[in-house]
Amino acid sequence: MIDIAKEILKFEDSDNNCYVNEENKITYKELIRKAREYASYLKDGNTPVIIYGHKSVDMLVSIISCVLAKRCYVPVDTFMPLKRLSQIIEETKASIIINNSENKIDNSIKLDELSINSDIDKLYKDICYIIFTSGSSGKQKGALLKRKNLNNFTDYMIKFNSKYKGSNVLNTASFSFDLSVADIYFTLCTGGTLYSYNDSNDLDYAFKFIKKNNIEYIVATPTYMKMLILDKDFCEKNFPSLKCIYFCGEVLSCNLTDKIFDRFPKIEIINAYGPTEACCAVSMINVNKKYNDPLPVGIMNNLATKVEIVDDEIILSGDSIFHGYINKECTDGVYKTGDIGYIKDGLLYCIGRKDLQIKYKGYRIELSDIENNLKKCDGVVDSVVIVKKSEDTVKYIKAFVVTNKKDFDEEQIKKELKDYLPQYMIPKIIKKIDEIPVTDNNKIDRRALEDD
Amino acid sequence: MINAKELLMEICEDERVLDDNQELIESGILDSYAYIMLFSKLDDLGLEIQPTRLDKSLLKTPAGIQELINRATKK
Repeated sequence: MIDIAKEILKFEDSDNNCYVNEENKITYKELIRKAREYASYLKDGNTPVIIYGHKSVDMLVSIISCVLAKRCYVPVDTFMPLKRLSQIIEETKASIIINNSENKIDNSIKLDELSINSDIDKLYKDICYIIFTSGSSGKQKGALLKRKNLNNFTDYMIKFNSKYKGSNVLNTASFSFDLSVADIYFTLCTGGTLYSYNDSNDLDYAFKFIKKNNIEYIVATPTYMKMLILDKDFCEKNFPSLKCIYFCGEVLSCNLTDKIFDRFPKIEIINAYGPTEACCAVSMINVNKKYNDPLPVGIMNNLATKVEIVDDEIILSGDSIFHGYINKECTDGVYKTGDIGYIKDGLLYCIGRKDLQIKYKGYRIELSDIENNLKKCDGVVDSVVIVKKSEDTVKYIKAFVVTNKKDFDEEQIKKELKDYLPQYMIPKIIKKIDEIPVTDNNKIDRRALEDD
Repeated sequence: MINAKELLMEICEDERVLDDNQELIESGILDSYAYIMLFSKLDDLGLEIQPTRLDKSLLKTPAGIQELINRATKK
């Protein structure tokens, strides 16, 4: 198994760019020089370091500084409301908050203000990073990923993608989502260049950025690619460098892969699967035209970690399994994903969820997280959140609230919710109802609300 | 002629789109899913519109989208 710190350090004399974004870039030599310096300040401590920002070069320098210092880091994107950030600070008991943004964050420092820190909490000694995910209680859950997990995943990723070592890779996910783990560490451990831009909704800009930088490998959710494929100019003739697209985070369908193959006949498409709790991805497979829906997500004799199906549920164990959540250690080394899956002809399939967790635009969301935060809004007594779907894709999130206020103001509730939830979790429609409908078994009748 | 408001109603399920001058983007009505669906449906209806080549200001309101459709239909 590789050691990611050692793999990255192999490129310390390289003048090649390792990260390029719209405003700035940095070579491997410069990244490692800075990261070594900051790592010297971080190495004696063990509490997590919160790295707050979006896609700036300092974000990557901060992350790699922590990797070299063997110090746990917690990436938090600027789209996270400050109340969620406060909760993260409280839960992690982070003593260092590196602020790589223009926002004012209490008790934070800029990267170049780092100095020797001498706290000696051993709790996070083996933890590489913490990624916070939506929690059903309304409070986020911090998943603790060990250095061993990241080494194991990166080793698997490099072996599976060996022909793409050293590529120009496009990062599309926020650094606070574990999809970005695939592009950051695959790129940096193989001497490639990582590219990133800020506004993922500007198709024009995306095309120019991808073309200008001769992107060869894209790491993305299917939703991101659905945007790019809308325009017929996104094709092999205009983007001859593009060789491979790695998908994870959402269900990938033949409808999308067929369109991609029409435009890029020689491209490789990789469909990957795995929860944050098992370090990015546990399985991947090259998808070609011979597969129909549902597309497989892995090959059983080529996995990052052990995968089993028990009572239709995908169960994971082995070197990719996280340490646990903050305040809740995973003591048996087994993670029950809640994903429904099966194995057929040596291939792994994932076909849905056992619970109310959804994927929306690639984001993992517990519907009860939204429900519980709605109840924090003025006048909201009770709430139920459902999704409106179109052919298995979530169209939008809709909420129903019971309120004790005479004048129901949907926009006011949405405005209040922004204090608690990131924009992508704010329901598109919030409707007032007199009471939550229940079934004969006294359970919430979500079906009735879905038909509304 | 494709009716923009009817199409938006089908995609967004939001009565605000029946107002010609309703702001669609800042309001979140035309989010990334709706954007994808809009162009996919127009493509299915035989209209070739390339998102990178159009006047983006036309996407801001239902009236603007109708203008977009009208121009694409005339081609």
